[in-house]
Order: sequence, then structure tokens, then C-alpha cells
Amino acid sequence: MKAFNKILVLFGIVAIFIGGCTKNFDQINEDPNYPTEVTTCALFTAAQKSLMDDMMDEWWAGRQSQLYAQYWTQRNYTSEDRYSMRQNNNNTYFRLLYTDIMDLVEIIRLNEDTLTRIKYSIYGDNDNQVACAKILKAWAMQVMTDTYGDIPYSEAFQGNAKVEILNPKYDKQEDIYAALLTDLKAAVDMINVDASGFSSGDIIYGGDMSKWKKFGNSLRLRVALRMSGIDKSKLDDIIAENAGDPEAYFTSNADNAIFSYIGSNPNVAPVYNALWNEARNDFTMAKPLIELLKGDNDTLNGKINPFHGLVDPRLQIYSRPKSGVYRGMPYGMTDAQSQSYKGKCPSFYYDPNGNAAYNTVTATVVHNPRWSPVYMDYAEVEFILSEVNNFEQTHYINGVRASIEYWRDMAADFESWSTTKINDFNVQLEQYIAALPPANMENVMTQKYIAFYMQGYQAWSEYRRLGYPTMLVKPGEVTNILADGTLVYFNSLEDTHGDIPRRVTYPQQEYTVNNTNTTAAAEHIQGDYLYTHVWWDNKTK
Amino acid sequence: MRKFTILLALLLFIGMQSVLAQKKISGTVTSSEDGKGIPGATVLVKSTTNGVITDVDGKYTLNVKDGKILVFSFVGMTTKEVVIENQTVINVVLDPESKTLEGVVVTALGISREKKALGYSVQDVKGDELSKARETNVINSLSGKVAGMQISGSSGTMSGSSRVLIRGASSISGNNQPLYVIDGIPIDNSDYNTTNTARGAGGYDYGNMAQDINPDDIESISVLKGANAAALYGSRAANGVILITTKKHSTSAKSKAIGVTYNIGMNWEQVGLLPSYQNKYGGGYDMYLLGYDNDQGHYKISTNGYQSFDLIPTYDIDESWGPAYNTTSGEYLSSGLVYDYNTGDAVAIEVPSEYANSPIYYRKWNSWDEWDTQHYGKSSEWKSPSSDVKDFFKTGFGLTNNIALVGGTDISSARFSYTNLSSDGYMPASRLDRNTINMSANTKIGKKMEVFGTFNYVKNKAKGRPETGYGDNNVVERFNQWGQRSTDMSDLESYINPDGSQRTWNRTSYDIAAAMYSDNPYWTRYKNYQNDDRDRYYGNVGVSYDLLDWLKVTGKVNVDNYTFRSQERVAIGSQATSSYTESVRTVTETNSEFLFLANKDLSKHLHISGTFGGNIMDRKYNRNLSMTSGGLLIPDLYTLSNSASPYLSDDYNSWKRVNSLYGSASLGYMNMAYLDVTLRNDWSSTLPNNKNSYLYPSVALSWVISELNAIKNSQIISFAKIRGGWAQVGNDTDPYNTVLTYTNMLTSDNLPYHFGTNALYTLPNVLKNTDLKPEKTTSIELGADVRLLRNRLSVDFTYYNKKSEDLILDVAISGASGFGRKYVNAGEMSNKGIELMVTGTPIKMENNFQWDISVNYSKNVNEVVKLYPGVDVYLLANGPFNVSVNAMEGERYGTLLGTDYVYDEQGNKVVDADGRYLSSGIKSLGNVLPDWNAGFTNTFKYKGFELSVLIDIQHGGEYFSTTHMWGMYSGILKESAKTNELGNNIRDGIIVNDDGTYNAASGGVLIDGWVAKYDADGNVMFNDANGNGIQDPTETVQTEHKNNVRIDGHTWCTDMYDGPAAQNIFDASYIKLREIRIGYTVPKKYTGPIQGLKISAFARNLAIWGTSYKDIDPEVATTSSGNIQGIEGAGLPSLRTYGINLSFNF
Repeated sequence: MKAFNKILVLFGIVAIFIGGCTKNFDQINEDPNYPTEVTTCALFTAAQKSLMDDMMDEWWAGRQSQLYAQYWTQRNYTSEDRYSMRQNNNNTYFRLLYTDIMDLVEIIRLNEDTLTRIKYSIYGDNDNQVACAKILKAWAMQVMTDTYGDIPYSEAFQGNAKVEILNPKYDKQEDIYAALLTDLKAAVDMINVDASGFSSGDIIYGGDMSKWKKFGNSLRLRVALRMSGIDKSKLDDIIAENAGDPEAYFTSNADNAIFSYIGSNPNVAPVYNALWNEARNDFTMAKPLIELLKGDNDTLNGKINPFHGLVDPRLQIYSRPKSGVYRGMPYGMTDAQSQSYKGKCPSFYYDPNGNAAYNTVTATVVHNPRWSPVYMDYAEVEFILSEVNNFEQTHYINGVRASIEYWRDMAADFESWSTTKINDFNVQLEQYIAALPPANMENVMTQKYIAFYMQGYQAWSEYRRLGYPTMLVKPGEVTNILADGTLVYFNSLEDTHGDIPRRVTYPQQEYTVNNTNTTAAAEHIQGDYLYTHVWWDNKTK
Repeated sequence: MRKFTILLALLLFIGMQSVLAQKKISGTVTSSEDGKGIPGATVLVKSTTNGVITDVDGKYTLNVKDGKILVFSFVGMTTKEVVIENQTVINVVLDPESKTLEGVVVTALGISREKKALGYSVQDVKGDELSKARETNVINSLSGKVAGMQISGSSGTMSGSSRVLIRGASSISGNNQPLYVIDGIPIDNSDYNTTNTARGAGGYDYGNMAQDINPDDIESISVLKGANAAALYGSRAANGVILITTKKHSTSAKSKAIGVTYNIGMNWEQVGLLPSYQNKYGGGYDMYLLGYDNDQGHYKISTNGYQSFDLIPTYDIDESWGPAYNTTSGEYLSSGLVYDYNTGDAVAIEVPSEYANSPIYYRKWNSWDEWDTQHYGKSSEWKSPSSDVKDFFKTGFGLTNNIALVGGTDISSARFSYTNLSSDGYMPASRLDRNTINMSANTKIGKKMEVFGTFNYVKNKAKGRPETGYGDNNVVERFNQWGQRSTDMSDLESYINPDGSQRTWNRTSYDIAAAMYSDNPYWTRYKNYQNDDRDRYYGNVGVSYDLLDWLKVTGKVNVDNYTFRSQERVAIGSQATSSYTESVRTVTETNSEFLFLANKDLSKHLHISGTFGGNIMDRKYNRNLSMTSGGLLIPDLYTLSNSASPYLSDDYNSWKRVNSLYGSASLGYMNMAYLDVTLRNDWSSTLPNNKNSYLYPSVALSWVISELNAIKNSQIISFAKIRGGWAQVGNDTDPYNTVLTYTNMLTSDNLPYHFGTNALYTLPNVLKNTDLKPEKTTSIELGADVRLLRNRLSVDFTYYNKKSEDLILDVAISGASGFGRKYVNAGEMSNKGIELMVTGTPIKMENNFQWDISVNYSKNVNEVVKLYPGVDVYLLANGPFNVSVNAMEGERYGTLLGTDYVYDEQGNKVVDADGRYLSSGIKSLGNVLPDWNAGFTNTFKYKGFELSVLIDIQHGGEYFSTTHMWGMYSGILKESAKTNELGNNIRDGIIVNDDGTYNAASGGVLIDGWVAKYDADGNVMFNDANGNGIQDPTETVQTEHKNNVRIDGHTWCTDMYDGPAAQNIFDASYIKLREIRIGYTVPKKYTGPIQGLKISAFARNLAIWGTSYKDIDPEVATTSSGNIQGIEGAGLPSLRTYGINLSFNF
């Protein structure tokens, strides 16, 4: 029995050893791969970059906003041109944009929470950090709501809140717009230009808070203008509030809010990445834009170019000639119909020797690895001020000049223009401006459209707001004529009620995971369709 | 045969007759099978060399002392021992080995138990069944053999993944694969396939790591199916355990000599199934005129002045909507819509009679390279190529050599085995080599102590695995989903220019040679290859000590370690950016354990055995992944430093520890009733501090009713047992799921990077949870085992019902929350099912002919009972196109969601005013899990011959076929050029008569459906006007009349993608002729010194029937052992395998 007792003791010892030996479990389960704390600078850089990466890539610029604005069209597979959307991309876009913005919300939280505020003040003045994050958040949320209409806002970004909200309700766009204006006002008021901005990681302005303040105010104009068809008082209030401050908004291209990519992998501009890293040679210039820039009318549909007979100096920067001819591909053809155009329309992808490589002779500045997508620029501010003043002439001309100069400077930099070339261009610029027809709604809005090149979301929204440019081809209209005189019509794959989509339908994933709220929103906006108008879109249905 | 044995035995035992005859014992040894005497049986006095052989009638006479033990043995029969007391006549009945009544089976912790004592179901498979019909992933060869075990494995992937579900899936987001234990060593079965690979979006299928198990070393496999059987293994056994026992050399008296066994196997593999392609239309869309100044064009026509030109197809279109092969040049050129390549203008050509009736001649893709004088500048006839897809593949050949040496003494024994497998696959430039060393030894130290150990080393090397799914380097995708049917495969063999650049049919244009979408498949195989290798060792050392005569203690350390390297390449000149990717993964799992084993008779009728043990498990994982960025600089140099931009790299380390204590007790009463109780407690490092300890019990009862006196002597019932059990198993989660950390921004290849000197960190996509608690699975199991008519018929039946609760899920949440997913304890899933195993011997003849039938059937009913409040769908993965795989509340696990047809109230499919299908909102289109599986084996034996045929049946389940979708879209598949109901090809033009009716010569497709009604705004009118419209999949549409609008064939085909996803959903049922084996054991009289010479031949996957889409083997949708199933991305063809095997020993 003694032996048996010994065994019992042995049992006990090993049992205690194994069962009790859990003290270092905390250490074992400490993730060695990822940090639990990071600088707000790193979050800010990430947010700035990921917003541009996601909005300006081949899926969301190339197959959505650039198509809706008819800046581009696809050369081979034209489903998206004809408004048939890949649902996976819609799911991804919706989620990515919110999660990108979440990093801004995190910056705001870390700088507002009394427990962390002091700790994070070493990366910049707390209020200034919050203001920057709020401005960029408002910028992105406007794009989101303009895309979908009602979206989650008041309950959004609370997945990790103390009272978590995993599936937030959708807010009315009306309320979102009110909130965006409130937030932007708060942000602008919060900025202390004498205190430090972000100590590093602010790629847009390098911590210059006076520029952030201009960005905030300029963005307030954009937001208020967009809803001005429903309620113009907000716009009037902002104009009145800043009436005495000549520096309230962007005053030159140096103020432009842009994201400058480094230009070497993996930090290359999204369009470069799409063409050269992902080898997607699917895009070319669309005919309506090229006609507009060349000063041609749309003879097929009997539409008059307001700048008829004027060749826009930006034509040579936006596009490339093929066999000496600038040509846009007719928008909205079927895959088969597009075939005969591939040889004729520029393939940005190949150099003349047929090598797949970036080449400034064939590719344009937006294909450059260093191309800087725009959050908002000075030209837009001038166009807004022109509109606010009943389509006033000086602001209109300032806007056109600002845009042309912005593109000129970028091209001169990326393509190493000679002084002669710059001088020649400047002569064209002056001639063009001198020949421009005077400001009116169509001329201002059409110039704004040309200036918005690559900002497809803004161009598309402004088209929805006022209907310009008229040169865009709508479903049911003639897009091309064959040699034998056969007319080719733009047939949409989805029902858009004969127009360019007025919004994007809610992603399927939202119906799956957040069904009640999404369904309610679909009912509130009177049907989740491409032709449903968003709240500020008061154009006749 | 028996006479030969007698002769041999006589030789062996000559002179063994003892001179110390003390007592004469005699008797007859008979067989239980036929009651006849067994000639040549050995009768031996235990632990001596004193013995005799029975005569032709089975009679023997022998002199022995009292108190000795007599051992009766005969080949193929169980050995019996009889203690000599006062008898002088000892008659013995021997049972055939294969029909062992109270068979012994290996159970949890490697403890051998009598089958009849078990209160749960365990099924075993003999090792030679696996080594004879070779599969490189041995798990695949269990398919159809075990009831309740569902195996899906694609065969074309070079030892790719096989997914095993034992009694259904019990975890929603976690691992559902069983635990593999070899000789007590838990073996890592990770699957490193990316989500992209699993969802059919491209990537290499590296297979699950259990593929390293060498079939030649397997003695037997026990499948522990239920929680009762597996409870002692803890968390990881919640999905069942596959318990593998390797061949050993035992320390019994008759095996002292050194023995050698040699086995050689050869196998050939061939593509078994390819889609039916259309052979009427060529590639691209149209042809263009390319004019010449130098009079070199194929066509020389004197209209509009003198013209000389060639016809060039649209090389850059990887589709097959080109002109029909039977079109004449006359028809084609005079059609009025032939365009000049450079101007895009239509050119009207009056065709001279010399061309009018000749076929179209065009410039092949390879006619533009000056160096290729054979093709340069020449036009070729537009026709179906003589060399097609099937000519790309070759016959793969594999060779396996195995040699095993055994040896031993009274106290020690050892086995050494070496296996070499080398195989050239069916794809060009693919090769797999595997070398395995297996050693085991044990020795006694003194009387009470035994030291034992096993060691295995496996070296796997693969080169040129085929890419799977919708990936750039999956040549099958380029054959079956996209491509130009007019491309001649033999032309493609010239894939490289003298300057090293690529030549592909998919040129960007006639003057730009760069690939548009598709690389030349030979370029892909020879230039964009991958390779990988894995060094793995696993083994254990241990000591056992007999503390008391009824108590033994064992201590053991088990280690499994491997380093898995892979290198993937994209060459400069490929369509994709060139790259080189290198990954190194190291896994080490250590299990240190002790175990007390007790065995005691408490009284004459009551026996108790018990265990008590503990284990510390550490699993450490390390991964380094590096990839070039922005392309490569120097061609064909695959190093990280050859990266154009600085290369990117990522490290990941994880560590998990689980401490466990467990015990069991088994009580047996009169060999009739048995009670088993187990208890285990785990402490897991992955769970929060206060929730990391969890205890779970099991209890099982077995009652052998045939021991009851009333049944005992029944002529009909030979054996009957009923059993029942209840068990619980807890489960933890992966490391680091409890605390929120920031993550790096990642490139599209998932590599972290920074923005210059600025760090890029972001909140993670998945929210962690500090309140996670262990998952819990509770199951009951009831069963009966009945054998009738002297074991000629036996039935084993099991019913189980298991429920898994508190399942840990990373549920998808609205992105608007700022996160994509969150870890929660929420899910509940149930699996109920039956397993039935019937074996019988319908024919057994005097002349040794025997026919055995074995049928197994299992049906599992799975239900996702609950997810998370407010969440009714858990996304497992989005397919690359149009569907997703989900766990959906109230449905079976693995729901395929996508758009369906829209129906009217009468159930008709609805089309729009243009005659095209309308698509519904997202809804369930089917489920990836089958309803039931069955295996049906017939074995015929005649003397040394044995023939067995296995038919494997799966019924139910669905999958989404990307091949069907894109193959139709791009005009590759036969169906895209089918004949319509008017007898015309659907690609022919739609011809409308003057009165608006369709001409009898009209092409196009008239979809059998009803036309939707539209309201004044042009919206489809639904029957239930609740405003959700098309997004509500349950709503029906109002219809007006039957569809009478034809759509052109091309639109009909592209609508496979643009229209309802349901068009590409297929039933996954199949009946497969899985395996035929024929074996012959050569009688010793012919083999001289060689013994046990066995020759066998096999064929696997010979035929498949009963599939809803006959072009595709539903199993090819499996490209991962994980939970993402049911999406056929561009499935590699399933293979037929043939082989021969020869083994002998001396």
C-alpha cells in the first residue's frame, strides 16, 4: 500500500504542475507581431493614403467614377460602362471606405479621450489633430453619401465603442449633410494656426494648419453648394461668415489638397499600379470628353459643344494622339462593338516599340507613378465662387486658368518639359482663355467638369446637380456610327431610366449582414435603384 | 497450398521433437469456418521450440509437461493458447483472422481495446489497402471506405488538399478537420492555402500537411468518429481522430530473425475528364484587313485598284466568337462588314472566283516573327486545329520503392523502413519526390522498464505544381474558361523567341507581341513555375515502468517539426508583372505527457481498467514571406535582391500552449457489460485568463446481449451488442484573438509596407474580443452491432446527435461599424446522422471461392442553428464571381448565395421584355454539403487471387462552376454553339420575317419563360408590393405572356455571367468507380527463397456517373481542406490512375 500512496503523491504533483502552470499564459498570448499602440501620425498617413488608394484605383475610378463622368471608357469588357456592376466590388468599396475613415475616428478618439490626450499631444496639438481628422472624414463621407444616398452616419464607427454598434442604422442624407457642415465648422473653429499640426505623416500639407483651415472652409463650400438646390441658406451663411477673409478658401494651386505618391513601388499612384503592376490595359479616353476638349460638336445626337471650335490646351495633357489624331472611344458600346476601336484609340500602356513599360510618349501624367490625386483644388473654389455670384466672369476665368496651370505644372514636372514647350503652352493657354465664351451656367459647369478630370465622383455629382456637360451620352442615345451608316446606340445593361446612374445601389453584403437597416433605407429612398435620386438631387426625375 | 505448408513446417520442425516426452497430448485442430480439420497447423509448447505440425486431418500428438501452455497457430487464423492441466485430449477450433469476433482495435491514447467493450463506434482500415492503391495524399484513399467520413479531394493537384469531415462540420469558422495521431504523436495538419486558393480565385494548392504520412508504413488506421471515442484527446479531437499505427516489429518468439520486406509500385495518371468544347467557331471576334504595299498579302484582289492584304484575327480577345470554320472567303469578304485594321473603316470587296469557295485564310499568331521562317508571313486555313487541349497533358508516371528491415531479440525489437516516391505529373514540367525514413525500436531494461522510440523523417520536394482556380498561371483556366478555340496546341510549343521573350497566341495586336491576358501555356509551365520542399521529422521517445503488477506508468515526449519552403515565380515577359515570392514556414509541436495505466480484476466477474494522464502541448509557428516589388531586373534570376524596387517582407510568429489533465475508467462485468467514463480538463493560452480552463466529461455503455443465455446458443445470432454514449468536448481558439492590435497597411499581396519614412498603421479589419470563452460540443451516440449466421452477415448501426455551442466566429458586421468582422461566441450548429455498415459473405465455396460485400452508408443532417443576434449569415468567402459561401441560420452549413431566376406565381422563370432572364436578389442557391455518402465494396477471393471493386457515391450538395460561366461567356464550351429548337446554330443570325415572326432559319435562343409586366415608369411589377422589389428574393413577378423574343447566342452565353448566378449552379452528386484492385499471392512453391510474393494492380477514378454537369467532376471544386468549399474556380482535370504493385519479403 505504501507504493500506492507514493503513486498518489506522484499523481498529485504532476496534476498541480500541469494544472497550475498557466501563469505565463498572458505572455504566451501576447501578440508579438502587431502593436497595441501606434502613433497618430501613422494612422493619419494611412487614412490619407488608403482613401486615395481605394477611390482612385482601377475598380472605383476606372470602373465607376471615371465611367459615370465619361472621362474614360473600357476598351474590351464594357459591362461596367453599361452600368452592370460587380457586386463584390461594391461590397468591398463600401466596407473599405468606412474602415479607412475609421482610422480618422481613432485619431479623434485618442486626442479627445482624457486618458490618452496628453500622451498623443506629442504628435501635434490635440485640437489640430482632431480638426485635420474631421475635415478628411467629412470629405470622404460626402463622397460616400453622394454615391449611395442614405448611409450609416450617426451610429457608424462604433464597432469598438463601449456600447458597440455592429450594424448601424442608415441616416437620411439630409441629416448627414447637416452633420457634415456642423463637423466642418467645428473643425475649422478648432484649428489653432499657431500651434503645431501633425508632427509627421501629414502628406497633404506637412502639418501646415493654415492650409488645413482653408481646406476646411473650401470643403464647406463644396458641401453647401451640393445641397443648394434644396436649401441654399447654408451656402449663403458660409459666404457671409467668411466675407471679410480673403484667405478663407484656397487662393492658389499651392493650397490644393492632393496626395503625392512617392513614385516607387509599392508607393505608386493607383492608376499606375492598375496599368503596370496589375497589367490592366482596359481603359482609354471616352469620346464625349475628347470632343469637348477638341471643340467638336456631338453631331450624332445634335449636341452643341459650348466651346465649339476651341482646342483646350489640356487635351495634350489628358490624352495622347494615335497616328496624330486625338480620338475618344465611343462610350457604351458592347464588347464586340468596341473591337474596331482598339487599334484607333490610345493604348497608354505600350511604348512605340511595343514594350509594356511606362513611357511618357504614350502614357499621360495620370499614368505616372507620382501622379497626385486631388481631394479638392483651388480651381473648384473659383468655380464655386463664380456660381455663388450668379456665374460671375472673373472667378470663372480664374478657375479655368488655375486648372490649366495645375495640369501644366504637373506635366512639365513629370515629363521634363523644355522652356520652349512651356512657353508654347502658355501661348495656347492665353489664346484659349481669351477666346472662351463668357460665364454662364453651362460654360462654368462645363469648365468645372473639364477641370474635375480624374475627380470622377465630383464630376458625376455635379452632372447630377445641374446636368452639365450636356455632351455626355445617355443610354438610348447614339454613341457611334459605322462606316455603312449604321447607328450604334448606347444600351444600358441595367435600368437607369435613360440617364447616367443617379446613385449606386446598396452593396449586397449590407443586405446580408445589416438587413433591417438597409431594407429600411431602401424603402426610405423609395427604392434601391440606379435611377433613384439622392436627397439633394432635385433634377426632374 | 496446405501440403506445401506441411512440407515446409516439417522441414522446420524436424529434430524439434523433444526427447523429454513426459505426457502425451493429442487432439484435432479444426477451423470454425467449415468445421474441418486444419492440416499443417502449428502446435507449440510456449516459450520452447518443442512443437509439431498437424496432419492432413488436422490431428496431432505431442509430449509435454503439465502446467505448460500449448500455442495453436495457422496462417490466416487467430492463434489460441490452452493451459495444460489434466487433459490428454485437447481439441481446438481456430477462427479465421479476418473474421475475428472480439476484434481488438486501437482507441484513444493508443490503447488497444476489445471492440465489443466499446460504447462508441470505431472503424479501422488496414494499411495494405492504402499502400496498394496509391494516392500521394494517403487520406484520399480512405474515400468510400469509412461510414460517417466524407472525403473530398481533387486529384489533379499533385498531392493537393483533401478535406475530411467526420460526422459533419461542427465549427462554423474554425477548423473542422480531424486530428491526426501517428503512434501517439499528434501530427500537424495545417493548410497553408490562401483564401484565394480555397475560393477558386487562383493560387497553388499545397495540400494539407497530413499528406506527409507514408502509406507504406501504415499498419492500420482507426477512425475515432464521435466525441466519446475522442474525448481523451481534448479540443482538437472535436472533429474526430484519425489514429494511425505504423508497422512495428514485435518481440514475440517467432520473429527473432532479421526480415526484409520490399515493395515496388508504379502508377500512371491520365486526365480523365475535360469539358466538351465547341469545334465550329474560331477565336476572337472578327478579322481585319491588313493591307500591304509590297504585294505580300495572302489575298490579291483587283478591286478599287489592286489590293493585296491579309486577314488578321483579334489576337487580343481571349474568346471564341470568331467566324465559323466553314465560312468561305467569298462569304466572309463580301459580307460588307470587314474592316481595315488601321483605319477602322469597312471595306467592300468583290471577291474574285478564285477565292469565293476557298476557306478563309488568316495570319496565325506565330506568323509575325521573322526568325520563325516556317510560319513567318504565311497565312493558314481557318479551321479547327488538329492538336487540342488534351494534347497538352501527358501521362504522369510515379514510382515508389519501399524497403523495410525488421529484427529483434527477446527483449528488443526494431524496424527500419525507407520509401522513395518519385512522380512526374500529367502537366508538363511537374515533379514530386518524397523520401521517407521510418524507424521504431523498443527494448526492455530489466523486468519492469521498457524504453521505446520512433523516428520519422520525410523530405518532400515538388516542382511545377499546377496553379488552381482563376489564376494567371492556371493553364486549365486558359483552356476551359478563356481562349481561342482555333489555336493549335502544337504551335504553342514554340513559346519563346530567340531573344528569350515570350510568344503567345494572345498578342496585344499584330504588331505588339506582348501578352494581352494569357501567357502561352508552355511559357506558364516552363517559366512561371513554383517549387517547394518540406523537411519534416516527427517521433517520440518514452519510457514505461511497471509500478505494480496492475499498474504501469508511461512518460513520453512527442515532437512534430517541419520547415516548409516555397518559391513562386513569374518570369520577365509574362503578362503579369514579373515576381519572385519566397516563403518559409516552420511548425514545431511538442507534446510532453505522462500516463498511468491500471488493469485489475476486482472480482471474478468485475474487471476495471483506468488511466490518468497529463499533457503539455506547445505549438510554435513561424512564417517568413518575402516578395519582390515592381518586377525583376535580370531575367531568370530568382532572388529577392533582383527586385526592381526594394523587396517586401513579412514575419509572423505564434505560440499556443494547452495544458491538460485527463483520466478514464472502464468497468467490465462478465465480458458482457462495459462502462467507460472519461474526464478531461484543458487550460488554453488562447483564451482570456478567467475563461481559459474548461472541463468536459464522457460516459459510454456497451452491453453484449448475445452473452445472455437466451441468445448465446442461437443458430442465427452470432453476436449482438448495443451501445450508447454521451460526451462533451471543449475547444479554444487561435492565438491572439482576444486583444486588439493595430495592423500594417498591406499591399495586394498582403505584405506590409511603409510610405517612405512614414509608418502606415491602421485599425484591424477584425475586432478582437476579450470575453471569448471555450466552444462546447455535446453529443450522444447510440449503436448496435449484430452479426448473424455464423458471421456471414453483420450490421453495425450508429445514430448520433451532436450540438456545438458558443462557437467562436468572426462574424461579418456592417463595414459602417468601422470594422469588417468581430470575434464572438455565438454560433450553434447541430449534426444528426446515421452510419450503417453492412458486411456479408454471399458466396463461400468449398473450392475457396469467396465473395464479400461491404456497404457503408452515412447520412448527416447539419443545421446552422444560430449565429449572432442580428446576424443571419456568416460569410465564409466570396467566390471570385457571383456567389459566396456562407453559414446561414436555419440552413445547412455552406450555403451558396447568389442571384436566382425570378419566378412568377405559377413558378415560371421570368424574362424581361428583351427575352433575357431577370435576376432575383441574393438568395440561397444550394448547399455544398452532400445529403449522404455511401461506399460499396465487392471483394472476390479465389485461392491466391483477390479482386475488389469500390464504388463511391455522394448524393446531394451543390457547387458553382466558374468554368461553365466563363466557358459559355467566352464561347469555349460546346453548349455555346449548340443547336436551337429550329435546328439552327444559336450563333446564326436572328432572322425576322416581314410579318414579325421568326424565320425557320433563324439562330439565337428563345428562353422558355414568361415575360414580366412593367408599370408606367418601366419598373417590373411584383405581386407583393412591399417596396423591396428585386432585392427581396421571395417576391414573385407578375407576368403577361410566354416569352416570344429571341436573343442572340452571344448574349445568351454572356448572360451566364451577367444574368442569374443560378445558371452555373450544379448538383454535386456522383457515383464513382473509385477503385479496382486485383491481387495475387504467388504460392511459395514457385518463389524459392522469396516469401509472400504479392502482385497487385489497381485503377482509381475509372469512371464517374450521375453528375448533373457531366463535363466536371464535382470533387475538383475542392482546393482546400478548410471550410471554403463549393466553388469550382477553374478546376484542374480529375485524373485516372492505374498502377501495379509488387511486394515480397525474405
